[in-house]
Amino acid sequence: MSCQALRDRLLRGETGEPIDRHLATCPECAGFAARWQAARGLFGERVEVPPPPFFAQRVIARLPGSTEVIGRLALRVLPAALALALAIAWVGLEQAPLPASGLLAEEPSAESLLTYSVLVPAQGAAPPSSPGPGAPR
Amino acid sequence: MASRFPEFLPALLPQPLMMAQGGAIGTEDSELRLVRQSLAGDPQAYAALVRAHERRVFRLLGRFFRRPEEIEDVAQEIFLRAWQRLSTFRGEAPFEHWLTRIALRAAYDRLRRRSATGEPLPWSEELDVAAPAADPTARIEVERLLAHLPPADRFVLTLLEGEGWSVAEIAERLGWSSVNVKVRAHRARKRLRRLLEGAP
Repeated sequence: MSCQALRDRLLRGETGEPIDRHLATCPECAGFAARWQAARGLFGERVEVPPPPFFAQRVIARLPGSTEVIGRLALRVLPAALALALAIAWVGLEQAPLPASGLLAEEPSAESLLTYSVLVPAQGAAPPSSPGPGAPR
Repeated sequence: MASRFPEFLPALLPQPLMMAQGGAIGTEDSELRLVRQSLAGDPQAYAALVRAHERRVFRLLGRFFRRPEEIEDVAQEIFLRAWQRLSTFRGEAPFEHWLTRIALRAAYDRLRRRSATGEPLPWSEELDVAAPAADPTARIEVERLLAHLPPADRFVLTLLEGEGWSVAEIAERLGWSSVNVKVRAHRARKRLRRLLEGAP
């Protein structure tokens, strides 16, 4: 049996005495057969991963239109919606006209202006930090 | 919750067969019922279907992927695809076969996508593919050789050699023609042989 024929038969999964005889006398084909066996073992390997708990519920949560999806979206959107509402309220308050108060709406009277100028010193005047020489003790 | 599907659709599915075995409700029967309820918009019925098949799907994916998080991700994708196509399930074959087809195609798509984007394939993620071979028959060296196989070849060879499926079984479960599977298997074996002979 030629090496080519033997390798074809090996790859088809054949076994038997003629194959064994050839392998015993042909180190190259014996190496090929060993690699082929290792490859078959690798193709047969499997990682055992059990489904995690609540896997089905996770799938359901991803279904389009599921209540779980809506609930999750609502939770995600809620803080943004609150922030937006606050911002709108803030802008509204800033731009709204202030209610007319009695103090600001009326022109100050001459009497109140005089009282103010007496009680509050003029700008630039030094505050009375220390009493002058003629100051009463 | 409102149904995603027209009301007449569940009625198009075959009526459950009254079981010849003493009228008992069989698995296929209850699955058909769950499919109908799912189509009518009941997510908990679909959750029951997922629970019934999740273990099988995870076992199948364990052939193609190594990382548990990737296995779970692909499994979720499979059950989402199945939900979207649930109305195409006619009940002529077991639900398991219908789902296996979706699972295999999703796994195949994921492998091809990874290959197309240059991401390392699951079986070569931790391998130094370019390292020189010390003992060519050692498992790790053979794994390095196999890392050179295109994902489609590895996929078909895993089903043939790993699952032990015949060409006809692969064709039926994937929805490919037998000729297509034969051609792919022939090419994959040819490339594998070249690799094992040391001429990648």
